[in-house]
Amino acid sequence: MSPRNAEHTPVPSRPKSVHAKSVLDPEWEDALRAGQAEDGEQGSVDAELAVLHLFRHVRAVEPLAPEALDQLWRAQIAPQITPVPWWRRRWLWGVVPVAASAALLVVVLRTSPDGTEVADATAPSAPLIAAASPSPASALERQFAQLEGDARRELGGNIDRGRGVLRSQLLAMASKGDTP
Amino acid sequence: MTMTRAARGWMSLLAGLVLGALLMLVGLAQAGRLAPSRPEVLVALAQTLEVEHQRVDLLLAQKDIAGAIAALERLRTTEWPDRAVAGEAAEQLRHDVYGRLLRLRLDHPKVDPRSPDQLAAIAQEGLGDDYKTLATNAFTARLVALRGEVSELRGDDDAALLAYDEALTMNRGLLQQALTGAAP
Repeated sequence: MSPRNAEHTPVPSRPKSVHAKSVLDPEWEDALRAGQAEDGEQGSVDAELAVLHLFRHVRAVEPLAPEALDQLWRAQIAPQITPVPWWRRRWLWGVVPVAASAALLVVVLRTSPDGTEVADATAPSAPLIAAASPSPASALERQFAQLEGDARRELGGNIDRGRGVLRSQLLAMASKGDTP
Repeated sequence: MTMTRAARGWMSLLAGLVLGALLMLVGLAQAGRLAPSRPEVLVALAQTLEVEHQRVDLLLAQKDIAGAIAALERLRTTEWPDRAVAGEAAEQLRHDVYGRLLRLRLDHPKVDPRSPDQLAAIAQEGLGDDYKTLATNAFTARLVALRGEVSELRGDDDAALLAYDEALTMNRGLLQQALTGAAP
């Protein structure tokens, strides 16, 4: 148990207790502590003691000694109101590993098994880069894809001409009465 | 014996006509417009290949790469007609088939694998010896480009470069033709 009223400076002008068990009587605290001890140290009398001290303070200001004030500031007030640096904040310990894992995942997923980077369809620069430096084979294959339609039409036209010549030959033979 | 002025004039006219006719025939032959001597061969070949190409399309749609390659390999055993018999169109049809086969083999090297030398032999077989006398067309240009890819596989960078340059020149000519044809 802490010493009773250790933080209080005695008030010289305080009158002697004229009324037994008055609210300003320090015996209240002893009585409350004794009652708590009798109850087996169950519960708390801090609230009641706080009220007692409030009454005393209202009755006569109880100044704190500078040392006691410093100790109170250092032990209780300062830790509560001093801002925590950003690198010591607790949420950072959760966010940093998650962000690092996500970045690693992005790097792994964007790289194909053979080490080549997968082209991102949403990135507009990817096709431009691919088009800027194609291999000769792929460039020629793309050219063929562009020319293929016209080439097939022209080839089909040639075959149709052959079909026309064949038809005319067959008609000529039929008109002569020959067999093919 | 001296020719009269009139006779010389007639001779010049006749020579001009003969030369003009020859040039026209050569021009038509170069453009592939000379009718084949046996058009029925070309027509039969074209019909056969059309069916086979559709079959290959179907096999590819079913992801049966091995089946598609096998179907095109069977076409290699076809007795391809000469240019004199079936015209230039028959050669273009052959180049188309071989180009498709080589493209599949290069894209899927693990399916029924062939060595780079064997692929080069396929390319040479498809092109033939006189492909350079053909009128410029996209199918021959593609097969030449594929021969360049095969040369690259063989590690013969000079041959690859030559083939790519040749194919590029062909394609440039075709694009020029397309642009000229499209111009008003």
